[in-house]
Amino acid sequence: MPRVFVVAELNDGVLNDLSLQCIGAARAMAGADGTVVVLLPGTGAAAAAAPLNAPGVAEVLVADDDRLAAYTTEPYLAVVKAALAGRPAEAILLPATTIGNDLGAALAAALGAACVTDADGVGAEEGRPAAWRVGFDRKVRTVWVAAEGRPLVATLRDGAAEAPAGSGTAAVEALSLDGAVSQTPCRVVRRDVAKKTVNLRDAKVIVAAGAGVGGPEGLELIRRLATALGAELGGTRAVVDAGWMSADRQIGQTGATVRPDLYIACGISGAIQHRVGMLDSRTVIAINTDPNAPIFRSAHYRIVGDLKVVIPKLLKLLGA
Amino acid sequence: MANYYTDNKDLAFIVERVVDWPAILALKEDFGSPDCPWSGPDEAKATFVEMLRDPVGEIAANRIAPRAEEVDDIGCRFDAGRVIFPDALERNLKDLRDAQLMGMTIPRRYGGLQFPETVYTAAIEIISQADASLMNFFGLQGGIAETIAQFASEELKERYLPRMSTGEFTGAMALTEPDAGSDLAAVQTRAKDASGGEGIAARQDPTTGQWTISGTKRFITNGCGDVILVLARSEDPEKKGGGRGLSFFLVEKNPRVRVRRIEHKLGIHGSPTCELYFDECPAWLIGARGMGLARYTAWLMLAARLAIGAQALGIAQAALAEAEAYARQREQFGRPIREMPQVAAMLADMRMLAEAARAVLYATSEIVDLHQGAEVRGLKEETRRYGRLAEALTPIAKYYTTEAANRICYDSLQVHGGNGFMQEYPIERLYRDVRITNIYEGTSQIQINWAIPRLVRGDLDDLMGALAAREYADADLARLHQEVLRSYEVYKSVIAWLREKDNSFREMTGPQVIDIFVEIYAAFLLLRHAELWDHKRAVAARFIRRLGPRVAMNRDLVLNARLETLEA
Amino acid sequence: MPHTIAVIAREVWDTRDLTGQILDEAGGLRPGALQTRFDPEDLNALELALRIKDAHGARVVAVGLGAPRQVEVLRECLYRGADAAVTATGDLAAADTAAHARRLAGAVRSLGRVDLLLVGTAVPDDDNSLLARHLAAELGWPAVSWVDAIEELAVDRVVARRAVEMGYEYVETPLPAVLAVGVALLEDDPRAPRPAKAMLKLKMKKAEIPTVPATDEPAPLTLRVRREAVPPRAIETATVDPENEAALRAMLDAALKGA
Ligand SMILES: Cc1cc2nc3c(=O)[nH]c(=O)nc-3n(C[C@H](O)[C@H](O)[C@H](O)COP(=O)(O)OP(=O)(O)OC[C@H]3O[C@@H](n4cnc5c(N)ncnc54)[C@H](O)[C@@H]3O)c2cc1C
Ligand SMILES: Cc1cc2nc3c(=O)[nH]c(=O)nc-3n(C[C@H](O)[C@H](O)[C@H](O)COP(=O)(O)OP(=O)(O)OC[C@H]3O[C@@H](n4cnc5c(N)ncnc54)[C@H](O)[C@@H]3O)c2cc1C
Repeated sequence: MPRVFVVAELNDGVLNDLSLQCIGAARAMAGADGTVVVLLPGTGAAAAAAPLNAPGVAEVLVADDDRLAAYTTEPYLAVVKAALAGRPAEAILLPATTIGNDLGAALAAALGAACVTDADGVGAEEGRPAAWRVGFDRKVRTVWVAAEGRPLVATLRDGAAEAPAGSGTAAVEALSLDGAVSQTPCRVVRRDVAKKTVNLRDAKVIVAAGAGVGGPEGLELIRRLATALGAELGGTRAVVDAGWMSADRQIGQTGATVRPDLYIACGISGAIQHRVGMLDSRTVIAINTDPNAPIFRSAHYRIVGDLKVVIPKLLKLLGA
Repeated sequence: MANYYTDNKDLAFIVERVVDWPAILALKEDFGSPDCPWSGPDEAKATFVEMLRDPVGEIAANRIAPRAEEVDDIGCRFDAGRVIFPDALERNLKDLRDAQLMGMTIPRRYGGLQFPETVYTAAIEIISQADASLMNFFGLQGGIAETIAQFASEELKERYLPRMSTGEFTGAMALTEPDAGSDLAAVQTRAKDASGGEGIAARQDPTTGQWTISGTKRFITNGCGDVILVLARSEDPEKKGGGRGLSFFLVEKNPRVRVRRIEHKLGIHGSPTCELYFDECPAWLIGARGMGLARYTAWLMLAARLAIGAQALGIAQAALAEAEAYARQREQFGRPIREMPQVAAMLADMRMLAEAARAVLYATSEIVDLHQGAEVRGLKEETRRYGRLAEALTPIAKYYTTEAANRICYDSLQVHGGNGFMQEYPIERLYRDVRITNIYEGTSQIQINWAIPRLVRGDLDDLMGALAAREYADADLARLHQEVLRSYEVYKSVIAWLREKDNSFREMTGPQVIDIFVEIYAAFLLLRHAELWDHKRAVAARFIRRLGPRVAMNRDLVLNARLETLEA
Repeated sequence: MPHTIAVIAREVWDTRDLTGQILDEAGGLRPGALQTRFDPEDLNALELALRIKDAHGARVVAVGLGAPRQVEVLRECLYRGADAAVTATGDLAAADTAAHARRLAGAVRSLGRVDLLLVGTAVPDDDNSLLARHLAAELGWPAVSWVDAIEELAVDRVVARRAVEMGYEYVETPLPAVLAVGVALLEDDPRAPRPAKAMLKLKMKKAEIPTVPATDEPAPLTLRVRREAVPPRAIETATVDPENEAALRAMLDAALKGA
């Protein structure tokens, strides 16, 4: 597979580390005889691009422009198209983030390319680029194979590939933008975005709260349990959206994917979008009042009960 | 996603396979007329089922049930003359209005759905399973609106029914007074006359014809509502005393009717129970003077008893589900408690009792539908026939379902052990909520008093005779049927014996006699159901195994009864 | 003039709590093994449209694809308050989001003036890409993804709240536009879109749902699909009685070992 193109992602000047996993996947796809080109668009890209220079990367392009400060589709799309213009690729990989999924789909639509969002892996099948996703309640792997003559755009979920170690030899070049940054119909008028302060991925023990905590008071109980265990606090999208917890603590499809030794799910129903983010935890304890909550299917220990009753008991046992 | 209609297999079975929709619809719809939305009974039935699934079952499970705890915790408040609902209750009411469910039985002409009573009964059960207290808005509305639709002037109908259909107006029914509870004939609603002395309750201005009402009503559910039906004395007690002096009035919320207080009570915290004070409050007469108790209240009661029965059954269904779930998960002595013989038996009995009560309630509801249909059609003979059945069966069904539901909640709490006593578990609320059902709309004792003379008179003999005469091709069912027939013979002998007894003896032994009757009736119904659904064979068999001994015991209790007080 | 809002309503596989085999030998989905449901995010999109209608007045038209399989999602839209519904012809089985988008865009164009096109963001199990983006490309309209609320709506523009990883962004776009609705309305109590309206259900039972014939060439398929079964992960679940202190302690000891 000769040419693979990676569109890396910058969030407020910080390189999104899924970009590196994309490079890992791209290298595997390209093989020994292929090339990997990486593009990083965004304001401040030049200063953040160094880690993209990984072994096996032929070219690192940065598109550092004030007009790319906040993400809107059209200017980003124009930049990626400009970069691809002289560097045709058989496969284009992006992180499966809110930006990557939007940009990837837009790119595929613009190029008439095959598109696979939220892929769990990429590779080749009968010589054609392919990507797959596990779905249908984790019962089916669907493999999509790009049709003859069509490139594949795939966005990769956390864990789809290993990030490469070490640094490479490519030079970091600025992409000449000229007319490429088109005028945009959309405009980000306001942002309300927090800085990421916790890294759940490295946590050994995570105590996670779901809507079942019922409110900030219930959450306090979870926080005490986390403290007693020396654990990080995590949560579901429901809890984050309710404003009870900051967004960097969200676990799941649109949050972090975690693999701690112990994961304690409190008042979490276990929607698949949450479970995909914690399925690989070594031990899972789930506390839920609903005996049929899907979370129990991913749990090693199943406690059917009210967390307001159960957690104080655990705290007592932990001597807290 | 949870759905309280489709998840309740027994209810779905009754609605989809047992209820005789063609018979009800033949009286209640004019297929082919431009006003009728259906081409035939199959289509109508399909719509009823669809509607019970979504919005009713959907809204109950996913919107109302999650708020029940909050409604119960916060409850209604009374502040500066105003009744304040908890937010969660306001949201429930909005959901019911948005789903256009508040006019379920109101004629289409007035913006309602004009569904049969039996669909409404099912809907009430479903809503009550989610939150029993909400039923007092949803399930009271029907009876009140139907009374207006049936007996009020066209002007009143046009003024109130459309707004009741949308839920803009909710209703209340003001019968009870401090001195008139079970004995409604004692109703006064006294007014001060010009001289300041106590006078006659409702007065009519001789020139304008406008009525006014003065006096106090107590324990009025949703007394803060917009449309209040009031039972009041309109006739001179010297000339027309007791029940014959009472008329039925409609009062629209206005400054001359004040809520004086709301009660603090054991359960149904989401339903305000108000003391109302009428101060020369303008009122409209419904129907004819002097018929308030005998005709309109009695008519209203038929639907209201079904509604309370359905409310009780909904609570019982919730309690049953809680018990079954808890017993699966709670382990003692190294295994789930549902495997303990006594717990297993309790669970089986709860389910059996719930299904028996449901069988009786919906069979009764069907009769009430037939009665209403016949009455609206002006079919004299059918109205009389179904009316007799409905007047005997509705008190029995109300008594049986509400007592069964109390029993089920009691056992469900027992299955929960100490946890059941704690507020964290829903059974604690269910146990409190169910307790009102065998009190209001006539206590169990009053239902029994109502039913007994009708049984003695033989009002239900034809109905029972037809059930007894059924033949079962299936050998097991035929054998069970024979067992029921033996009990039925006992019942007949008890009734024959009772005919010789005086009224106070009959009332005293009423509970046993009604139990004998209703359990035989339920057994007949369960056998019929067993022909349609295999699951019911086991239910019917369990029920009938216990029927003989219970009937024999109750007979012995009747034969040995004695009126006495043991106060020391 | 009030806005016209088109909403895409998809009937998707209900992939929650699947039990048993769902693939046949050949890797096809076993008929009967799966049930369908109204795509929950499309339902959110519909809810958003209906809230705009409640607040500002709007004409809401639901747009579906292909004949109903198990759930009549378009009729469900009408029951909830959509003013009209149309179906695009198309083959749902050909799992290429781009091809679906072309058919749906054709149906949207047939509606005349449309100001907003709402569609769920989630990529259902069977889809390969974000439908909203492909619709936007077909129609030549701007699009905003992951929208979970409307901040401001004017005659010719909208400010949408877009959920991103670490918070929200407020994006202004001219109309007509495509909005991809995400996990919208999660803060509501309870987090469920409105159910059917009883009267509407009676009225719309037999409402005509016109089919829009395809006028342009089908989009060429960009990919092929192959499915394979994933062996279930064997998790042994032990039930722990919360009342049993010794069991809780044993659980904590075992779970914390090595952690
Ligand atoms: C495209 C997309 C992306 C998404 N991304 C994510 C994601 O990244 N992460 C994520 O988490 N979600 C995500 N979601 C949302 C996901 O679908 C669920 O809505 C969400 O995970 C539900 O959160 P929850 O379990 O906290 O809430 P609920 O589903 O409401 O569950 C609450 C649970 O608490 C239990 N409970 C209630 N009271 C108690 C008590 N007192 N004691 C014990 N238990 C109790 C209840 O039984 C229930 O099971 C996404 C959805 C979509 C469509
Ligand atoms: C929460 C609540 C809501 C209510 N809502 C309404 C409402 O909306 N509208 C309304 O009009 N009323 C309402 N009521 C009143 C209710 O209908 C009465 O409480 C009920 O009918 C019983 O009347 P009572 O309380 O006066 O009891 P009583 O009549 O004093 O009865 C006391 C006891 O004596 C027994 N008893 C009385 N007479 C007989 C008899 N002849 N034979 C055998 N036993 C007898 C009763 O069964 C009971 O056990 C409500 C009551 C409550 C508690």
